[in-house]
Amino acid sequence: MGAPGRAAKAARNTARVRGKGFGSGPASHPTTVGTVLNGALMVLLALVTIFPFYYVVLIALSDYATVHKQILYIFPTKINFESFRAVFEERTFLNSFLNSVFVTVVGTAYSLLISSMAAYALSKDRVPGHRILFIIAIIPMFFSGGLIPYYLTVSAVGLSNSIWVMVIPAAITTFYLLLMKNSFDDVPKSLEESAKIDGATDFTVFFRIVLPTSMPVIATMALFYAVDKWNDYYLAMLFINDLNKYPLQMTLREILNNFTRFQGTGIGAVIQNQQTPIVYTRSLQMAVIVVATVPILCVYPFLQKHFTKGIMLGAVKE
Amino acid sequence: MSETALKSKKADRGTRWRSLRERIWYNRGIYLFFLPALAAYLVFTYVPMYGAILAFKDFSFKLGILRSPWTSMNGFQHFYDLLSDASFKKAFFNTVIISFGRILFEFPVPILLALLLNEIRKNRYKRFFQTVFTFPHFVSWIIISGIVFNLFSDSGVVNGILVTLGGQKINVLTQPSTFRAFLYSTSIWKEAGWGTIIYLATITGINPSLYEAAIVDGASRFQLARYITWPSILSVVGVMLILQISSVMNAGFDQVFNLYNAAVYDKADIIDTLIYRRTFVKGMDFASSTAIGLFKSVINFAMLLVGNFVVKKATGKGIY
Repeated sequence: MGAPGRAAKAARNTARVRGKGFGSGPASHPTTVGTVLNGALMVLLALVTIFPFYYVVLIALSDYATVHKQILYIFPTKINFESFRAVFEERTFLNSFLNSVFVTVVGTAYSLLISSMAAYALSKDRVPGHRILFIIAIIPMFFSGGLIPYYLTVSAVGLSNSIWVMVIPAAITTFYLLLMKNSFDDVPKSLEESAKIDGATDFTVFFRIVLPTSMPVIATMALFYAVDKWNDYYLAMLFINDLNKYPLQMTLREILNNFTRFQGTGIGAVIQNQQTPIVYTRSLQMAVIVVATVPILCVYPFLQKHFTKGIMLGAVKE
Repeated sequence: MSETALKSKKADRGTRWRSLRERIWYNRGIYLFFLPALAAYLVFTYVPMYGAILAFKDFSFKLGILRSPWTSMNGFQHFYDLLSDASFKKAFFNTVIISFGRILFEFPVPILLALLLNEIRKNRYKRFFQTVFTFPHFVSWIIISGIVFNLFSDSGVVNGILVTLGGQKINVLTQPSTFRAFLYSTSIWKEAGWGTIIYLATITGINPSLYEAAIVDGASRFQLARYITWPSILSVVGVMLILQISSVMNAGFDQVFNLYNAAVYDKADIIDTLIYRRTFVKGMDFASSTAIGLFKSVINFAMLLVGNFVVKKATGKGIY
């Protein structure tokens, strides 16, 4: 491109810049083939992301005969809610659903409470021994005793085969704690100090001033913890062997991989019965997946807008 | 920052004259705030760290960790045994290969995706795509395994398409030769969108006047990305790389455990899955599994130091 062309382009760009005001930089360039291609690529990737979920719902709502008649089944021809009915009539399933709700609600509250309190303590660098506390919190991020000692310790504490094993041992995710700490660092110290001069305790300062001013981060961390608790199966797999104490994910895992454990139950009977199927095995599995995913889908869009803000406040600091 | 720093300094001045004991007493409330977390850390991370001495012992359930006798070879018997343990060696190499495969194939994707998302002009669309791409991160690997089985099973949509196009059915789940690629691609599908958040947050923080000046000088969009955006996120890329390198011995238990099966053990069995199977499925010796776990932790920690050193040299900023 020659110099005149470049100058013209620069002038055009400047005009654009002036016209639109300055948002994010690259947004001020004119539409090009690149922009269109990029948009097309994004749409394609979005489809790739969404399609598997769509296909889950599709199969969950189909019946055996319909899927098997067609080589390629992509659009619903017949909708059938039988699998959802079978899932909800199953006591083991409902039970584990409630277990997961319990673990998620209680676990998130507990995790959020002790890690935000610790984060607040760590944000006070004037406190003697601050560095030691910080190092105590940091080390577990990079070093662990390994699975077996952990297993033996948790068993020794007496949490084996108790639903609390999903709440108490893995209560703190150090990474989340640090995000909260960084965000608390930004709460104006003058606010806290003036409250203290007025006779407020650290306790009041924390719950009345620091927490409310850090709401985006707290909301984000609550979501992260909640999703982690909802999705956790590892602790249950290690420590719980009573089917009635299983969280949803563990029941789901059994339904996907290990039908034999469910033979005595209602779902097992339905699965066994697949030669004369009212309900298609895979529809049943997919119905369980839908039920396990919907709660996340419900909270996700509302909190999604906080992520970037929450992470940005917490993580990206020089 | 400077304003708050000044104010906190002012506040500090009141406390500076106090003796250490008085300062500790003055801040007693703050220590109380840390107490529950301290208890949790001590019991559930530091006690197990100490318990890792089991790696040097012959474990007996009756005696417990502390009173079990030391192994021969000055306690290193279990480690020595690992040298001739074929399935451990297999798992070790699989772990290393898969981890580096992840760095090679998975690590760059969120960076690229963030740069592309950043090129979208309308914030509304940008947010929409971000919302869509991030969602799979919040779904567990158990659910993803179900979704994947559904897609790739014999009567699933992928084979449906292949047959419709006149091809052969495939089974990626039990095909050893493609299984690692399958791991990388499912992981990208699930985590790439989530990975963009930190980069996009960094990009948002770039001073707009940099772009303004460059546009006036006639920079193309590619040049903007190459000479302004990329250098601005480089240090964050470095930090993320260090974190990735320091978990080289992990290789993603959650994913592998939920997707693998006996047909692909040869390519996919990693150290963590081996430990799990040995200890909780086969019921082998606890002590030797502890030794493997300790070995893993030590290497991870060493990789953290190495990674931090290298990245600090290259980008000028590490994690400490």
